[in-house]
Amino acid sequence: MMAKEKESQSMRRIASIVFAIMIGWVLCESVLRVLVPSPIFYSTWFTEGVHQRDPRFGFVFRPGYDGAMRNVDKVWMEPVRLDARGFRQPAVNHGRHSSSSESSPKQPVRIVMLGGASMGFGYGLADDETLHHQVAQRLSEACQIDLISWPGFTLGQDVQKLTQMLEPNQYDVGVILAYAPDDYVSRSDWDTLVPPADLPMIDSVVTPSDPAAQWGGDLYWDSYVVAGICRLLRVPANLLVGHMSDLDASQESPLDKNLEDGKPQILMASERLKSLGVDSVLIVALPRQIGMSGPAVLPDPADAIMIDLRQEPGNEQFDWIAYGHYGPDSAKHLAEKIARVIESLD
Amino acid sequence: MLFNSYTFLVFYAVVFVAYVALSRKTSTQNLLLLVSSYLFYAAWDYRFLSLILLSTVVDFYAGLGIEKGTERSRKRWLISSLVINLGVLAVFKYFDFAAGSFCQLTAMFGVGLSVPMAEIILPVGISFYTFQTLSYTIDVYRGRVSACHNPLGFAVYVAFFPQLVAGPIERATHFLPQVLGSRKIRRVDLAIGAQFVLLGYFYKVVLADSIAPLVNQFYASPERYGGSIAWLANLGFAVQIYGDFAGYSMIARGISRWMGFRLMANFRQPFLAISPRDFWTRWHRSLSQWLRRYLYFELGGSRRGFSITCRNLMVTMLLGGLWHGASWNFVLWGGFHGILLVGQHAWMVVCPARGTECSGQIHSERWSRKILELAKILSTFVLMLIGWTLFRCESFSDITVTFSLMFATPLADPRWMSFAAPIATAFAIMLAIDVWKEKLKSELVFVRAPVMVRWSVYSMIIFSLLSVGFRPTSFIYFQF
Repeated sequence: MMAKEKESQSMRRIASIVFAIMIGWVLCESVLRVLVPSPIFYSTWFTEGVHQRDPRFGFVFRPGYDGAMRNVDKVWMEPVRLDARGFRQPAVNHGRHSSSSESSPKQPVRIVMLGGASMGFGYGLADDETLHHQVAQRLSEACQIDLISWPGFTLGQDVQKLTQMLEPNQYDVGVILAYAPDDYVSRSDWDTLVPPADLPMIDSVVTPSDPAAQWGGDLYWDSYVVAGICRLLRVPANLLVGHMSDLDASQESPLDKNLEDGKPQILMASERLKSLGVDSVLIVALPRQIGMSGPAVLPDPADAIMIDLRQEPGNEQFDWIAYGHYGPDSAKHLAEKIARVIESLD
Repeated sequence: MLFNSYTFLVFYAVVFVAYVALSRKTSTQNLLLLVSSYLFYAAWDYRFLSLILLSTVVDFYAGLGIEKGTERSRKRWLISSLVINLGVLAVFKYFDFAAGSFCQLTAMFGVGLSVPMAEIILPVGISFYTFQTLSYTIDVYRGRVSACHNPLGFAVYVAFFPQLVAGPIERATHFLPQVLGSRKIRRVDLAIGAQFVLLGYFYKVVLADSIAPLVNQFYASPERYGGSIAWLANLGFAVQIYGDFAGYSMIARGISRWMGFRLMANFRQPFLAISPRDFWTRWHRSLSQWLRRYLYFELGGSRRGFSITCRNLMVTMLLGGLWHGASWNFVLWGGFHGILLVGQHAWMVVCPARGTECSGQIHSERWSRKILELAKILSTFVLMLIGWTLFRCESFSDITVTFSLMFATPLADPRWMSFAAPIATAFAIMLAIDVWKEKLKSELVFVRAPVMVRWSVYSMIIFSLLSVGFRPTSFIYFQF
């Protein structure tokens, strides 16, 4: 009799604890929904409204966007204003050598800069600090540089932007910025546009794809607790995956192999620009804060000029901001090199 | 190594297991605590360990010297300790500020002198452990505590890792006997420690860190917002700094309690303060008690007439403000609190009856007493909010903009709701817990609550921590 009573008592206790835990879960979900209104499982690198859906690319940067780039803690903010096409404002230089004696004013040199994703875009830099503005400032001729790089976009997508959103043949010079390891790899589908079917977009900001979301399924998006547990599991999973990929990398060098198989994307892009009517093409291999992308010896383009700036941070005092992006000094230094080569073009 | 990091959880788990395994001998436990404390501090910057070592050695021998010496040599030992400790603090924390201010001052008079800056990184927690060791030397000199003859124990007293970088600033009379004596880990301490730790993490990780982006968003460019958001951002900062600092203190107390140490309560429901003076008995109590005991009383306290008392209050609060950081906004904040305390003191001198006993006679009705108390709480809270503006703004222009938004601009701002909902929720949660503690006259509200309530709250906290995770945010008071 006593044993039975004891058993039922402990059952009641367990039941009440389970019930209390459920109350705790509900309380947590309710409180967090008010306390953290924007989803906590992603971080926005721009203020709300920076992206809009697009049938060709999946998403594009919103034309006329007036917001800010920011850090994950949102303490640091850098204002950014995009032009009517969603690109950073063109850099215009009226020229230092324009003389009044000339009968007909010379047309400004038209330059388009593409590739390099967020590094090319100048993430974290003010409008007048970006690479294209710094290059324009250093050119003696009157010029206009249009920058069409966007964070999260590949070189192939940038070439597509050039053909679909601009008139390529209006440009005298095309500057291709190579930064991602993929830029040095050959791919047959490099400029094929396959917009993602399921694009997570919250507060008009595209969220990066996250394996944690796949583990949680629909519940990941509905429950803060499930999302939190999935994100917690991602830590050991990433460690494990990182370790496995390190082991794979030690066995072979896929980049070099790809270079042997076919043309890297930077050369494909260069040829495309030439075929679209761009007079001169300059390929710039950009440096990274840690490591170096691409092969040790870069391929020699037939119809373009290649400059390799990947070793530059070793020689100069580079500054890095916003988690490994170029700071104003880095942009100035790189612009100096690029401008010098552009000046040498006819 | 931040409390809100997975590295710290692993670090503490290892230390705790080793600590329990060594529970038979206090000296071995102390050796473990010392090594782990130095490791904990070295995780920030191992070079600054030398400062802790210097402070430890100087004050250990100063204590012995004061105890054994003649009246003259005792004074010499005390002065040596003060000069070295405050000298290190002055060089590492205030040199650049003083030099910069001097240059600005000379530039104002057209002289334009330039003093080279030291450009030294501020060692984490330097103000906390300097004040703690200073209190020991002064207490030995005043005869309040006998000198410590155990160098290992004294080194643990200086560097005990749970409270090393942000307090509470423990007095030797309270903490040193705990370090030197034997300690027991009791079941009740584990339960109490669990409440402190869980609530501490909830305050910091869930409440403070969730509100921080909104506050930072406002202070990044205050001119873009209206009056209502300025007030909300100030309320948000009050919530943030309370959650951040009280959260840290509670975690420190919790993990110490698990090891058998009892650290002092650094906060006692500060949102319910009924006057500026009452606020300082509730907010950062270890610092305010230090300032009162070792600065205000040493200056003469309130025993030498009205004007001297006012001067002492102002000096104490200005230096208290400066303790927080080498910046003029902290001096202003201290000055603001000094004025409030002087004002309250003057009011109590002019109208002593209204300030204290008489209120009971005039408002004998219970409800009217409650209304009066509520009005006092509300007015004190608004004054504290105004003070937090000075504390949070990084420049005079930001202070001007924020004050003009708060007092001279229409309140309307269509975006106010996105600020109001999260800030009000966090504030309501903190206020509810404070009221509960005040009503029970105990801070162990969850330990003493019925099983259902306790498990509901604890599971809510654990689920919330799992949901938001640890964000890479430091504690505000680490910079001091």
